[in-house]
Amino acid sequence: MTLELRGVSRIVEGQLHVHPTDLVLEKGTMNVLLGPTLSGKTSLMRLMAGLDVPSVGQVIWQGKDVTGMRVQDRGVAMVYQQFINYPSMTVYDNIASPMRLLGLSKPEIDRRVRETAELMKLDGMLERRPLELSGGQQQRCALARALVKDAGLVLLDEPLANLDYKLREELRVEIPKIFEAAGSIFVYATTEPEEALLLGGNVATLWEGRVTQFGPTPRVYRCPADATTARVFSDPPMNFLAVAKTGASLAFGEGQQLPAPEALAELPDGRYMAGFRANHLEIRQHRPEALRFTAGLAVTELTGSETFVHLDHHGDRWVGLIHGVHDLEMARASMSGSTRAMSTSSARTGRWWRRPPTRRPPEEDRTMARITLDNLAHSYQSNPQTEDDYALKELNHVWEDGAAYALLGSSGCGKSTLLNIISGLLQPSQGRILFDDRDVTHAATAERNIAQVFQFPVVYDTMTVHDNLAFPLRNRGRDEAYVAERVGEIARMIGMEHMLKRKARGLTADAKQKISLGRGMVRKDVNALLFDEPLTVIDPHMKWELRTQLKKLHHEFGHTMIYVTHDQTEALTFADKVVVMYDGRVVQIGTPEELFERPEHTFVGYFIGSPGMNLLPAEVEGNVAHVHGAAVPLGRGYGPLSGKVELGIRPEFARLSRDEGLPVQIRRVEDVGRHKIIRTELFGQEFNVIAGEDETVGADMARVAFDPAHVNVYADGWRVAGAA
Amino acid sequence: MPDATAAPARKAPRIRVNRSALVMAAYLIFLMLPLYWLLNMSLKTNAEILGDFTLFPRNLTFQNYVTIFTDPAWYMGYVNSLIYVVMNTVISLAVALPAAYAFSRYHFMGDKHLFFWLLTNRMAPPAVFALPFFQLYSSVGLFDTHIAVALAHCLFNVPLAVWILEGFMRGVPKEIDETAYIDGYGFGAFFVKIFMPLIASGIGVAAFFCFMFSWVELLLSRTLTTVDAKPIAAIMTRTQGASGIDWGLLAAAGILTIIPGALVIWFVRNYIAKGFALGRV
Amino acid sequence: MNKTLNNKAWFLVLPVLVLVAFSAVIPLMTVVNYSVQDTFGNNQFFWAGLEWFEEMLHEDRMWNALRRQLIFSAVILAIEVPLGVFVALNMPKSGAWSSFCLVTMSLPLLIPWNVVGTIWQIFGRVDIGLLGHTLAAMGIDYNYTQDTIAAWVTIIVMDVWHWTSLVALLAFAGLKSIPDAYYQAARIDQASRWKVFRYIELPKMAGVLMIAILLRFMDSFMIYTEPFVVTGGGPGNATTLLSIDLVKMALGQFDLGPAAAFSLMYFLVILAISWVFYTVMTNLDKKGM
Repeated sequence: MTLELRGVSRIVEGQLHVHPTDLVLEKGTMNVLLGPTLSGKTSLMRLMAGLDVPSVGQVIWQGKDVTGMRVQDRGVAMVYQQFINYPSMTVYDNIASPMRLLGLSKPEIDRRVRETAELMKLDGMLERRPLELSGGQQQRCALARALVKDAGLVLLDEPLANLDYKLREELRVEIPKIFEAAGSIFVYATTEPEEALLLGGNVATLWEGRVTQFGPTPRVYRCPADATTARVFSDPPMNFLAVAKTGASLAFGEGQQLPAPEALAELPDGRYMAGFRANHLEIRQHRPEALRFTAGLAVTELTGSETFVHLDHHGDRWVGLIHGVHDLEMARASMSGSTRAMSTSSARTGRWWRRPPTRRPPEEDRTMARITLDNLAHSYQSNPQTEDDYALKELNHVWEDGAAYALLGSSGCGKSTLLNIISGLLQPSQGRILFDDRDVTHAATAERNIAQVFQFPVVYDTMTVHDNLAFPLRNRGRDEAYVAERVGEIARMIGMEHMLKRKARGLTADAKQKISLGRGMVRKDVNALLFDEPLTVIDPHMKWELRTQLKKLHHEFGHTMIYVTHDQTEALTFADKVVVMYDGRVVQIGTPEELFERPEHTFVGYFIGSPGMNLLPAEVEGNVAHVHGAAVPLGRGYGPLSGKVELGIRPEFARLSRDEGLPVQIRRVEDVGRHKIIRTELFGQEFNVIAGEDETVGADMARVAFDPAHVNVYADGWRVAGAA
Repeated sequence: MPDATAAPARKAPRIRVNRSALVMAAYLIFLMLPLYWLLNMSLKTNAEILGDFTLFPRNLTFQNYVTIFTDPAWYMGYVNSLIYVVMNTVISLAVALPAAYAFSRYHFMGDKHLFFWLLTNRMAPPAVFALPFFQLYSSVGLFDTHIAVALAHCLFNVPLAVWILEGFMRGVPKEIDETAYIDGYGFGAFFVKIFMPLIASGIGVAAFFCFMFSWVELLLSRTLTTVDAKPIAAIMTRTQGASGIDWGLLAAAGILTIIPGALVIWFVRNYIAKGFALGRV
Repeated sequence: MNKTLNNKAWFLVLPVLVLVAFSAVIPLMTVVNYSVQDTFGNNQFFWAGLEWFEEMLHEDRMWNALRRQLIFSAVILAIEVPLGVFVALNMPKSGAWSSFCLVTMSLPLLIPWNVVGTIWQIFGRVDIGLLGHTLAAMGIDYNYTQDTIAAWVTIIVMDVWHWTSLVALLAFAGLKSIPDAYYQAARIDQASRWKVFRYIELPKMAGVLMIAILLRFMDSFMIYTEPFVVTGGGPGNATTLLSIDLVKMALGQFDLGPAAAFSLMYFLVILAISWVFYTVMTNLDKKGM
């Protein structure tokens, strides 16, 4: 069973959608098509499926030319980004329908439907209709329909793109397993490099309708054939540097020179573009051959376990991703990069400039607001009876002026409800909300003096970009000179100075969203800036840029900011404090570091981090825990505990070992680029371990050990503090 | 995610709601008054109509309605109208469905011109076509039959149905079609089993408009019929007798022509708002 | 949506093509045929070339009817579109009261057109109609069979009564499709009521409003039954609109040649104006409305 594309190309209305492509996909492989939006992934996939006929070339399936064959006869299966099911049929009939068309017997169909439904965790909802299900379940139904017919070729077109972050993660783990069992050729399109890495198999990177490289995923990631491939296959973005090699020395930037590393000795002299990944930048000289650079620091983002640094290296924008939490305001840090990522890559160490001190604008331009939530709760029902009727359960909290908060949770957890109460679009069923000491519970939105950016771009279509940005200022009667000045500043910040005169209608979704962001930020005197999942419609690469802009803005103006998201990376990098919500309740409020190291609830442990925290049922006595009879040392001492006692250990704080710790069996090792995820079984239970990129996992590593300081103890789901 | 429409700020809208209610009340009264007057007259005797000017019937009588329901020449008018309206609706939808699908899914030679040409038929004044239709249907022996009127009304209903259905179909993602084809459905099975349920509301709206325009049209239906298929609206002219107009009977007949329309509206009341968007907003 | 090129799609439009060809093309050919021939009765026809077209173009009769028609269409559009939008803005967005409004408003649209005429004929009569009687009681001289102004007012009010709901319902459908986020954003931006209308509601309604204008224009330009029942084109020829004049000419006086030439020119005028609307509409569509 092989699928072969021979010189396949597609031209639509004079435009080349797919460049001539040769590709051979072997039986039982997972093949990822990776590229940004409109890079030709879907076009290529449609050619494979037979939905489109190539303009030139042939599609060969099992040695037979199937070019131009009816799609009904091709025996392929496909899952789309949108949740495509037959809404008028039940889930059962949806899954059964391809088999009915194949003319299978009733008991056979029934058996396979139930089998597949169980695999996709849909057994409970076979009699329901797809539209009554959640997004994740709808997509499971679509996946089940694709799997059930045992197609030789299964095509998945960004199947997880429309799902919540955590749901995506779960399904991403399931899909390779399912695929192993099926043994067909899988083709999976995605825009996200991380997803490609997690799925493994082979990857074909696409750029402007061309396959730039095809090969085993880790190899393409580590040795991209050209700069385009490297750029496509990196998140955070690849860092680039123009260098000239003469003999044994490298010249770059404005006359800087360094001796060329050994690895590049064979390289003929000439001009090159060097590229290296964010996680190969270090603050200190981590190995002797690393190169040193000097760079300016724009913004730092802390995720709890890692630090993102945005650098300016003589005009080149670089991103560094460094293990651990580093407070760069204090340290005069230097950094180094390794040279192993690419054959032409180079890196060096340098000095970071101090972060400029947070500039507080003059007082008259700023209003301050400490936001107090007093006894707040909300129900969408007019007469709520039990606690379950409340979409937002009782909540008391004070949010400090000038801090950046993120509300993090999966859809339906009440985060948008809370945001709408703060902005005044919703009246709470009970409780008060105070801005400083003023009760604004019943104040109209306009009186609250806030700005909000919505999930989908809200722009005034008939106005120009300039007028859109000026709108909130003009409505408040600010004079034109001031308006022009502010609009100019904001336009520069969101990078739209060149299109101020254009009408907003007809702009792309991300351009429109940038306008919305700009309109939210144009006023200096707001009490708070609220964001409701503002980056949903933005392409992954653009997300980086906008998030950095927001962060920078926060440093400059010191507004109170509240940012709602389901994406933990967004929440952790953006916020000073993250508010984790679950089922209408605030489970924990803390810094990214706290959430990472000391999750107050097992839900926080599960929700934050990918993969989430491992949980082991245990008995705890003093500073030792017993897991299935084996002793685990703890960093703290505990008194007698009641209820269900569990140990929570993050995969980052567990390591495989040959002779130390609990016995495990390694199930699979996933090379996800900057680290490895090792999926193991510990006393019959799934247990994940994260190992560094360079660590080797030997077959004889049958034990796992934990860092005692980072083992948390939970009773009935809540963390027990313990005594040192 | 539940959104924030439910309760806007409490104080401000109070006055606005009242003003809106006032505007709506005034408009609805404007709409209802002439209808009320018709109803009022249909329940009066001719003597009362022509004699005193009364705002409501003093001597309530149903005699006018009884006359209509007992005289086949009257009530067959309703039957005739309903027959050709239903025929027209069925024919219009049957031919418009595949055509709308073609327009919403494919590019083909001359598609845009064809679409505009279809729409021009909706713009054709019935007055222009009255005489040619009369001659055409007389020559093929269809004069004074229900099918003649039904076909004549296709002139403006088919373009409308194609246009409405195309709008609704455009809202259904193409991926559904492809998924079905990949699953192995042929075009026919897919169209009937999967696609039609998806655009059921669109079909309903198109049927509503076909019914409406066929039911209200008079010029063509009157021209193409004499006895056997004569519509109720044309029969109403009979009230002009030797002794002047029988106002009560005319009003009762008028009221009865409103009822089928009112019933149709009642059945589709929950879809009106969506339906009038014609799948295009 | 990106459509695929497929000329087999012609098979799907074939039924429509056959049906419309039968009910439109053949009759239209008959009309063309008449328009270029003359007769002395006895079903004997001879070639008349473009004579009828020239004659019609030089006669005042058609020009007068066309002038009256244009005034009529312009007036009703000028009243119905703003009024319809105004009503739509004041309609309750949800609940039983909203359903009630929708049902009541749809009612006039489903009344046979001659019944609409009859209703207003009765309603406006001074002797038995509420409107006529009331106006007379107030001392206003109102008689639509005698007085030109009264006749015009009657048919215009009748058309407003009959069709404003269509505009309102279309506009309402457009309003309902505006996501709440737009209103929320406007509140946060402190936009005034007028600005909300001008920059959010009107642009979002533009698409359906164009449909409403197109439909209302076409239908008002073709209007026949309702004014005919009320005024019969009178007093004199004061309310003789194009269709009324055409039917008079073709079926009343049986002047087939001139009537046919008239028909074709009439049709062409509608086509030309509608084409302009259609072009504007599709351009709006392209801009992503």
